[in-house]
Amino acid sequence: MNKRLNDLLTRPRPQNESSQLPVSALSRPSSTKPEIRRLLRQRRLSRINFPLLIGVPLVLLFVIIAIFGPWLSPHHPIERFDIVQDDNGNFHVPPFKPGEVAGFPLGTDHIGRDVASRLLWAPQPTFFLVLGVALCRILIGTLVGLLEGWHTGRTSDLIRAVGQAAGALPMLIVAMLTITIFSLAGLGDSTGPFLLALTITGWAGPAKIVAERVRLLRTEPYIEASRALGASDLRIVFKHLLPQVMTILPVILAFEMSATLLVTAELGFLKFFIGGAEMFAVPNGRDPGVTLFPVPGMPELGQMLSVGWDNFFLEPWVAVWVGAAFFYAIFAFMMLGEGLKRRIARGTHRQMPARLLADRFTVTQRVPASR
Amino acid sequence: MIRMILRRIVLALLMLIALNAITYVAALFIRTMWPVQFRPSEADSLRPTAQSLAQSYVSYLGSFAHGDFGSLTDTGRPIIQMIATALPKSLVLIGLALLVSAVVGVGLGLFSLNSHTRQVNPLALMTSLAGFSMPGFYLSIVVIYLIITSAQPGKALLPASGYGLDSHLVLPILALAIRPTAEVARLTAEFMAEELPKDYIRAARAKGLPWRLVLLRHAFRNILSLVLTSLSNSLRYTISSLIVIEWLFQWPGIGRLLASNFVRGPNRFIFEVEPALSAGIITVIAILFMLTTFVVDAATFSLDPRVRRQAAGL
Repeated sequence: MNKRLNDLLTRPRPQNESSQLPVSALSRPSSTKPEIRRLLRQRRLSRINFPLLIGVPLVLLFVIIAIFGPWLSPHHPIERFDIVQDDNGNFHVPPFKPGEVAGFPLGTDHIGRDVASRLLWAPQPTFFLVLGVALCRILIGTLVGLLEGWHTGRTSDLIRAVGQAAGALPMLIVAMLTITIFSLAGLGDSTGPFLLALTITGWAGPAKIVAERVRLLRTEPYIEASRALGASDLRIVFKHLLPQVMTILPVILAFEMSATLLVTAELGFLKFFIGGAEMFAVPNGRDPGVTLFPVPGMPELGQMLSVGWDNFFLEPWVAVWVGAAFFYAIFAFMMLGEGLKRRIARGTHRQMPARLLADRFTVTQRVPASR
Repeated sequence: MIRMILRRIVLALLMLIALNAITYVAALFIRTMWPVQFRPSEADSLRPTAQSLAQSYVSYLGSFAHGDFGSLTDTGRPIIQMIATALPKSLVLIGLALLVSAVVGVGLGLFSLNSHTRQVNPLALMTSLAGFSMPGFYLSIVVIYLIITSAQPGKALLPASGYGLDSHLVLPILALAIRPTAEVARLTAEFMAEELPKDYIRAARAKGLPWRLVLLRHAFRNILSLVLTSLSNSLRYTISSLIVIEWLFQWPGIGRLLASNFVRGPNRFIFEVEPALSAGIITVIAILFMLTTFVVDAATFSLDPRVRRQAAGL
């Protein structure tokens, strides 16, 4: 396309063309001009980093709600509202439908709690859990990746095999098993098990990217030079390789946040959520002696989704709103990651090859000088 | 070459055995430890020792010799029988979802390519990112909601849950295929956008071939192996969300069988975890995953001479 554009731009232009045109022709110029204009516009458009442009505000809004949401909410999340009589004298019984009663734009759940307020409180624990998981994954992944990429032979092969095995497992199943085991070990507040379960299933992705990058970089002349100067392995890895790897970590962070949010949503749907220990035991006549009912207390996105689906046929809007919140957050971080990836790729390459951009986590890499 | 394949098979077998053992022991631990929460005084007698865990694992291994992969603790029903009835129903879902995502994804990818500028339409790019961010279960919740609210009494547009090889298939496949479709579409478009400025495309155009043929016969054949690889990558999401989707639609496949082991709620007890069943299903899923990866690798190998050359060089 660029070549075509250049041909068009360098073509000798007919002189005093514009002076001969009538005023009305400005809206419908001669045959070559609109094509140039269109091509220029398309080139301009193709240079705009749309994913970043959209992703940054979306993520900012989510983070603001996650941090300041509790101050913005009109009601307390576990404050219950009872029957309301409106101006026309009609009575309304919870669950209020969205917009049924003034002051409850998203409705209430079946025990009369404002869904909008709960939705403003809910992202906070979810966001910090997901952030923690993504950071842990990146920390472990970076260390393992540096190790894998720097060493050759057995060590590297072994780490790669373990990473492949970890990557081949369906994340959801492993997370379910781990969370269940750790909630048995007496960890009542189950943020810890969640962190652990989601970290051990996800460190392999970042590790692979970091290792690939290190493997490319380790043949660079400056690495060779510092080794010739007598630098130790540790020094080379942390002083020379780590800074090069650091540039891609924000991209990985955004994608990991997005992936973790999705797993959190799916786990929430299967009734695994933070504070999942809040089960209410009712005695029954059978063997373990109790039947368990989930008691939703302080809101969290996964927990609201789980309870919303339980009561879907009573109050479908709850699950729909919470699912929308999940979709919004996942989409926001996905866009941010894609945008950052394009931005980095554009910095290192004038023309970015799609093949390097295409893999979700691959970031365009500088080709080493010596092959 | 043969040595490489053998090595891969041995590694895969070792991985399967390790996975099976870990799952079995973990599930057994959960099963024995669960009642402790309600009877803390009996904790010491309930807590399994390493010896007892090892013993039951050995007896589980012994069941492999009988070919029944263990049995349910309560009824003694052989696991192999349960998996054999559930697996085909899951395979139908996975297979159709992958087929749909391959066909629709490639079609959308080609469609989202601006044939004039030979670049990906930014709007299409963002739509595909949105599709990739859509959890399948959320899409199905919304569709179920719409179906329920719009249905006349006695007849609905689509069945909201249940098993059947007819219109029951539509919603689960939609939910399973949305993310792979978006991913395949985006990747097809981006690979194509990289392929189209090349000289052989210009030559094909100069010969006077129609654009459609240039796309399908020339450009697409070159990116086919990449598209296949992306499809096999997205299989991981499909299998992972299979559990959620089968649970949501009450589809009697292996995903629901596994979920029914772990998902709690009113009148469900988590100590119903069946160690042999969990281990069996997770092993089957891992085998499924490995087989698909292997098939895709083989297909790439036979379709793309560049890959063959690379493999021969290594």
